[in-house]
Amino acid sequence: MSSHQAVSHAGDTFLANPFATHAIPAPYAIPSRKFGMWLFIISDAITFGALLIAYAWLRIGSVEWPHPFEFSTSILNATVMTVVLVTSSLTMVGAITAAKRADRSKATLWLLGTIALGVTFAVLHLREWFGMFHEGVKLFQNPWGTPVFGAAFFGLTGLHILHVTGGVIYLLVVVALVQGKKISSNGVEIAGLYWCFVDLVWMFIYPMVYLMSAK
Amino acid sequence: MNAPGATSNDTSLKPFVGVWFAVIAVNLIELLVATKATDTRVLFGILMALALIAAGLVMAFFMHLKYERRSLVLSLIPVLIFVLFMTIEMFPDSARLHRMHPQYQPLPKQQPAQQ
Repeated sequence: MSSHQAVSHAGDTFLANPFATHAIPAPYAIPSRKFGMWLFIISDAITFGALLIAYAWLRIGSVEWPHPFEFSTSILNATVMTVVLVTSSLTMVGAITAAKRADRSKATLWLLGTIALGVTFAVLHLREWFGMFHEGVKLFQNPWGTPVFGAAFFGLTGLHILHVTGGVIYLLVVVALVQGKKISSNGVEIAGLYWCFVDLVWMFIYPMVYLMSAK
Repeated sequence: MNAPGATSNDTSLKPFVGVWFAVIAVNLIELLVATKATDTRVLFGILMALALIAAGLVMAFFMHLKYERRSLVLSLIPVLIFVLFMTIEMFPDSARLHRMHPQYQPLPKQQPAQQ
């Protein structure tokens, strides 16, 4: 097989490995990079799952768990954040469908929309954090007398916001690659897998952290 | 689930807009439930059931898992459920911890009638 011979595989086109002596079928009929992203997502889901279970364990096991989230401010803010993040998943799907049509300009626009929504989410989240700092909530200290609340809240939401920030940087790289015609539609879809996973995790953080501790 | 090896090559965004509305609706139901429910454990159970529905929709449609081979789903999801189940196995400890707390006040038990 020539190194310049194109191999069509599961809806994508890429160059064959020049060092391969024979073709090895990809498992599950998906490109190996996509499968790698799925394995990463599963390992990351286990990390988030353990943190969410630990948070729920503390929430159920504590007699006086604080209820610091006012409906008119924090809960409303978290609900808007939820809508923003779910909408960003939809715009990401728009980018994938545009990439499948080989429409690079529309794919770029959808990706930039997703990035804008991701940045909006992060800004709203940081506003929430600074509001809590203002109320005197620290990692191991807060005015309500359950010291572990700060560590649990900032640990869980901090890991999530880190993923959002990482996702925004990832999507910026994907935009550059789309503009430079250096990425296939499957590459955009793989980025979409990561971004939608960040949205999926928020589906659990929003009710467990915010709604269960509403005033 | 589509035919083996098929990917989500459908270039229409319409079905995903419907999923977007469904996920938002589930989240709004969660918000409504949180304002009504009083018992923490009941609220926790209902919210997690609704969160699983929302997460399932995101995974099936936005992450295109619905369009992948069934073997991929069967390889990934049971493993995740098993590992999380093993973690949840210790969850009853949270209720035990709750009862061990010095401020915990159990409901007064009714004395059996003297014969």
